[in-house]
Amino acid sequence: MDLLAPGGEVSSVAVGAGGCFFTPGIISALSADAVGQETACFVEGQYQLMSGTSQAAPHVAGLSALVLQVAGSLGAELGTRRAFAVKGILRAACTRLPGLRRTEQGQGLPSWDNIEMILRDIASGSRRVTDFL
Amino acid sequence: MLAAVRWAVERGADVINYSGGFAPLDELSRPIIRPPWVWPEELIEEEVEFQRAMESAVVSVVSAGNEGEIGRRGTLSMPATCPAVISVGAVDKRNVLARFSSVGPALRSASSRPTSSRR
Repeated sequence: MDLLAPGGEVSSVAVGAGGCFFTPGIISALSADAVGQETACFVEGQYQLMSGTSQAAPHVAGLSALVLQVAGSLGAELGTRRAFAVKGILRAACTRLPGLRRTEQGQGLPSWDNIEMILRDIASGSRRVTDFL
Repeated sequence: MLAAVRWAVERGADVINYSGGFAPLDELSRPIIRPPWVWPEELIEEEVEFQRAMESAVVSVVSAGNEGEIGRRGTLSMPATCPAVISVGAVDKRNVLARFSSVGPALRSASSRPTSSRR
Protein backbone atom coordinates (compact mmCIF):
# COMPACT_ATOMS: atom_id res chain seq x y z
CA MET A 1 0.00 0.00 0.00
CA ASP A 2 1.54 3.28 -1.10
CA LEU A 3 -1.06 5.96 -0.55
CA LEU A 4 -4.73 6.90 -0.33
CA ALA A 5 -7.18 8.85 -2.49
CA PRO A 6 -10.92 9.55 -2.51
CA GLY A 7 -12.96 6.40 -3.17
CA GLY A 8 -16.47 7.43 -2.17
CA GLU A 9 -18.62 5.57 0.31
CA VAL A 10 -21.02 2.65 0.31
CA SER A 11 -24.16 3.53 2.24
CA SER A 12 -26.24 0.92 4.01
CA VAL A 13 -29.44 2.45 2.64
CA ALA A 14 -30.06 2.92 -1.08
CA VAL A 15 -30.53 6.58 -1.97
CA GLY A 16 -32.62 8.20 -4.71
CA ALA A 17 -35.04 6.87 -7.27
CA GLY A 18 -34.08 3.34 -8.24
CA GLY A 19 -31.79 3.16 -5.22
CA CYS A 20 -28.05 3.81 -5.36
CA PHE A 21 -25.81 2.41 -2.63
CA PHE A 22 -22.73 4.30 -3.87
CA THR A 23 -23.56 7.56 -2.10
CA PRO A 24 -21.68 9.70 -1.69
CA GLY A 25 -19.83 8.19 -4.64
CA ILE A 26 -17.28 9.23 -7.22
CA ILE A 27 -18.70 10.32 -10.57
CA SER A 28 -17.10 7.71 -12.83
CA ALA A 29 -17.02 7.65 -16.63
CA LEU A 30 -18.98 4.81 -18.22
CA SER A 31 -17.47 2.74 -20.99
CA ALA A 32 -18.88 3.43 -24.46
CA ASP A 33 -21.00 0.27 -24.50
CA ALA A 34 -22.52 1.06 -21.09
CA VAL A 35 -23.68 4.53 -22.12
CA GLY A 36 -27.45 4.62 -22.48
CA GLN A 37 -28.13 1.78 -20.04
CA GLU A 38 -30.09 3.12 -17.11
CA THR A 39 -28.66 2.26 -13.71
CA ALA A 40 -29.65 3.38 -10.24
CA CYS A 41 -26.41 5.36 -9.88
CA PHE A 42 -26.63 7.04 -13.26
CA VAL A 43 -25.35 10.65 -13.59
CA GLU A 44 -26.08 12.70 -16.72
CA GLY A 45 -26.06 9.81 -19.16
CA GLN A 46 -22.34 9.18 -19.45
CA TYR A 47 -21.40 8.79 -15.81
CA GLN A 48 -22.27 6.67 -12.83
CA LEU A 49 -21.73 7.06 -9.09
CA MET A 50 -19.35 4.35 -7.94
CA SER A 51 -17.31 3.74 -4.78
CA GLY A 52 -14.20 1.68 -4.14
CA THR A 53 -10.45 1.68 -4.44
CA SER A 54 -11.16 1.38 -8.19
CA GLN A 55 -12.31 5.00 -7.95
CA ALA A 56 -9.37 6.05 -5.75
CA ALA A 57 -6.66 4.80 -8.14
CA PRO A 58 -7.56 7.10 -11.08
CA HIS A 59 -7.11 10.15 -8.85
CA VAL A 60 -3.50 9.05 -8.45
CA ALA A 61 -3.14 8.21 -12.14
CA GLY A 62 -4.28 11.79 -12.78
CA LEU A 63 -1.75 13.20 -10.32
CA SER A 64 0.94 11.13 -12.04
CA ALA A 65 0.02 12.58 -15.42
CA LEU A 66 0.14 16.10 -13.96
CA VAL A 67 3.60 15.46 -12.51
CA LEU A 68 4.81 14.29 -15.92
CA GLN A 69 3.25 17.31 -17.59
CA VAL A 70 4.67 19.88 -15.16
CA ALA A 71 8.08 18.20 -14.89
CA GLY A 72 8.52 17.36 -18.55
CA SER A 73 12.28 17.13 -18.16
CA LEU A 74 12.09 14.19 -15.74
CA GLY A 75 12.33 11.79 -18.66
CA ALA A 76 15.45 13.35 -20.12
CA GLU A 77 17.20 13.22 -16.78
CA LEU A 78 16.03 9.80 -15.60
CA GLY A 79 15.21 7.80 -18.72
CA THR A 80 13.50 4.56 -17.84
CA ARG A 81 13.70 5.30 -14.09
CA ARG A 82 11.16 8.08 -14.60
CA ALA A 83 8.14 6.09 -13.34
CA PHE A 84 9.88 5.31 -10.05
CA ALA A 85 10.68 9.01 -9.57
CA VAL A 86 7.00 9.88 -10.05
CA LYS A 87 6.12 7.24 -7.46
CA GLY A 88 8.70 8.62 -5.03
CA ILE A 89 7.49 12.19 -5.50
CA LEU A 90 3.84 11.20 -4.90
CA ARG A 91 4.79 9.24 -1.78
CA ALA A 92 6.86 12.16 -0.47
CA ALA A 93 3.92 14.52 -1.07
CA CYS A 94 1.66 12.62 1.35
CA THR A 95 0.43 13.56 4.79
CA ARG A 96 -0.08 10.71 7.23
CA LEU A 97 -3.60 10.28 8.64
CA PRO A 98 -3.80 10.02 12.44
CA GLY A 99 -4.60 6.72 14.11
CA LEU A 100 -3.83 4.47 11.15
CA ARG A 101 -1.08 1.91 10.70
CA ARG A 102 1.33 2.18 7.77
CA THR A 103 -0.13 -1.02 6.36
CA GLU A 104 -3.54 0.66 6.25
CA GLN A 105 -2.57 3.99 4.67
CA GLY A 106 0.94 3.72 3.24
CA GLN A 107 2.29 7.27 3.24
CA GLY A 108 -1.20 8.74 3.63
CA LEU A 109 -2.93 11.33 1.47
CA PRO A 110 -1.04 13.15 -1.30
CA SER A 111 -1.75 16.81 -2.01
CA TRP A 112 -1.09 18.79 -5.16
CA ASP A 113 0.34 21.65 -3.04
CA ASN A 114 3.00 19.31 -1.68
CA ILE A 115 3.73 17.91 -5.15
CA GLU A 116 4.15 21.42 -6.56
CA MET A 117 6.51 22.33 -3.74
CA ILE A 118 8.66 19.27 -4.44
CA LEU A 119 8.72 19.95 -8.19
CA ARG A 120 9.70 23.58 -7.51
CA ASP A 121 12.53 22.43 -5.24
CA ILE A 122 13.75 20.04 -7.92
CA ALA A 123 13.58 22.76 -10.57
CA SER A 124 15.52 25.23 -8.39
CA GLY A 125 18.13 22.62 -7.54
CA SER A 126 17.49 22.59 -3.79
CA ARG A 127 16.45 18.92 -4.03
CA ARG A 128 17.65 16.28 -6.44
CA VAL A 129 15.14 14.21 -8.35
CA THR A 130 17.31 11.14 -7.78
CA ASP A 131 16.54 11.48 -4.05
CA PHE A 132 13.02 10.31 -4.87
CA LEU A 133 14.03 7.06 -6.57
CA MET B 1 -4.53 -8.07 -18.04
CA LEU B 2 -1.15 -9.11 -19.42
CA ALA B 3 -2.16 -8.19 -22.97
CA ALA B 4 -3.56 -4.84 -21.82
CA VAL B 5 -0.38 -3.83 -20.00
CA ARG B 6 1.82 -4.88 -22.93
CA TRP B 7 -0.44 -3.00 -25.33
CA ALA B 8 -0.19 0.20 -23.26
CA VAL B 9 3.60 -0.05 -22.94
CA GLU B 10 4.07 -0.75 -26.66
CA ARG B 11 1.85 2.19 -27.59
CA GLY B 12 4.02 4.49 -25.49
CA ALA B 13 1.60 5.21 -22.64
CA ASP B 14 2.90 7.49 -19.89
CA VAL B 15 0.50 6.23 -17.21
CA ILE B 16 -1.55 3.05 -16.70
CA ASN B 17 -4.48 2.89 -14.32
CA TYR B 18 -5.57 -0.61 -13.32
CA SER B 19 -8.71 -0.63 -11.18
CA GLY B 20 -9.06 -4.31 -10.46
CA GLY B 21 -7.39 -7.28 -8.88
CA PHE B 22 -7.59 -10.84 -7.67
CA ALA B 23 -7.68 -12.71 -4.40
CA PRO B 24 -5.32 -15.67 -4.00
CA LEU B 25 -6.57 -19.19 -4.64
CA ASP B 26 -5.66 -22.32 -2.73
CA GLU B 27 -4.35 -25.57 -4.27
CA LEU B 28 -7.92 -26.54 -5.18
CA SER B 29 -8.49 -23.18 -6.92
CA ARG B 30 -10.86 -21.95 -4.24
CA PRO B 31 -10.56 -18.28 -3.30
CA ILE B 32 -8.77 -17.87 0.01
CA ILE B 33 -11.11 -15.87 2.20
CA ARG B 34 -9.40 -15.58 5.54
CA PRO B 35 -6.64 -12.97 5.75
CA PRO B 36 -3.82 -12.30 6.04
CA TRP B 37 -3.33 -13.48 2.49
CA VAL B 38 0.09 -14.97 1.80
CA TRP B 39 1.37 -14.79 -1.76
CA PRO B 40 4.13 -16.85 -3.39
CA GLU B 41 7.64 -15.55 -2.86
CA GLU B 42 8.27 -15.31 -6.57
CA LEU B 43 6.35 -12.54 -8.34
CA ILE B 44 3.21 -13.66 -10.18
CA GLU B 45 3.03 -13.22 -13.97
CA GLU B 46 0.81 -10.13 -13.73
CA GLU B 47 3.07 -8.53 -11.13
CA VAL B 48 6.08 -9.13 -13.40
CA GLU B 49 4.26 -7.42 -16.28
CA PHE B 50 3.49 -4.35 -14.16
CA GLN B 51 7.06 -4.27 -12.85
CA ARG B 52 8.25 -4.30 -16.47
CA ALA B 53 5.92 -1.40 -17.24
CA MET B 54 7.36 0.63 -14.34
CA GLU B 55 10.90 -0.23 -15.50
CA SER B 56 9.91 0.96 -18.98
CA ALA B 57 9.02 4.41 -17.54
CA VAL B 58 5.26 3.76 -17.55
CA VAL B 59 3.75 4.89 -14.23
CA SER B 60 1.45 2.06 -13.10
CA VAL B 61 -1.30 2.82 -10.59
CA VAL B 62 -3.29 -0.10 -9.14
CA SER B 63 -6.29 -0.16 -6.78
CA ALA B 64 -5.59 -1.82 -3.42
CA GLY B 65 -8.83 -3.84 -3.40
CA ASN B 66 -12.13 -3.66 -1.51
CA GLU B 67 -11.64 -6.45 1.02
CA GLY B 68 -10.84 -4.31 4.06
CA GLU B 69 -13.92 -5.49 5.90
CA ILE B 70 -12.84 -9.13 6.02
CA GLY B 71 -9.74 -8.25 8.05
CA ARG B 72 -7.48 -5.34 8.96
CA ARG B 73 -4.32 -7.09 7.83
CA GLY B 74 -3.16 -8.55 4.52
CA THR B 75 -6.05 -8.09 2.10
CA LEU B 76 -4.28 -6.36 -0.79
CA SER B 77 -5.42 -7.84 -4.08
CA MET B 78 -3.00 -8.82 -6.84
CA PRO B 79 -1.40 -6.92 -8.68
CA ALA B 80 -1.55 -4.21 -5.97
CA THR B 81 0.80 -6.64 -4.20
CA CYS B 82 3.54 -5.86 -6.75
CA PRO B 83 6.18 -3.75 -4.95
CA ALA B 84 6.94 -1.71 -8.08
CA VAL B 85 3.47 -0.28 -8.71
CA ILE B 86 1.72 2.58 -6.94
CA SER B 87 -1.02 0.85 -4.92
CA VAL B 88 -3.90 3.03 -3.80
CA GLY B 89 -6.36 2.64 -0.93
CA ALA B 90 -9.45 4.77 -0.38
CA VAL B 91 -10.70 7.50 1.94
CA ASP B 92 -14.25 8.81 2.22
CA LYS B 93 -15.29 12.44 1.78
CA ARG B 94 -14.17 13.32 5.30
CA ASN B 95 -10.70 11.88 4.55
CA VAL B 96 -11.33 8.91 6.84
CA LEU B 97 -10.05 5.51 5.67
CA ALA B 98 -12.91 3.74 3.86
CA ARG B 99 -14.06 0.57 5.63
CA PHE B 100 -13.83 -1.40 2.40
CA SER B 101 -10.27 -0.32 1.59
CA SER B 102 -7.92 -3.33 1.47
CA VAL B 103 -4.85 -3.19 3.66
CA GLY B 104 -1.30 -4.44 3.61
CA PRO B 105 1.12 -5.91 4.15
CA ALA B 106 1.58 -8.05 1.05
CA LEU B 107 2.96 -11.13 2.79
CA ARG B 108 5.00 -13.59 0.76
CA SER B 109 6.23 -17.05 1.52
CA ALA B 110 8.16 -19.71 -0.38
CA SER B 111 5.77 -22.33 0.98
CA SER B 112 2.72 -20.49 -0.33
CA ARG B 113 1.59 -21.52 -3.77
CA PRO B 114 -1.68 -19.71 -4.33
CA THR B 115 -2.42 -18.82 -7.92
CA SER B 116 -4.31 -15.80 -9.08
CA SER B 117 -7.93 -16.29 -10.05
CA ARG B 118 -7.34 -15.44 -13.72
CA ARG B 119 -7.77 -19.07 -14.86
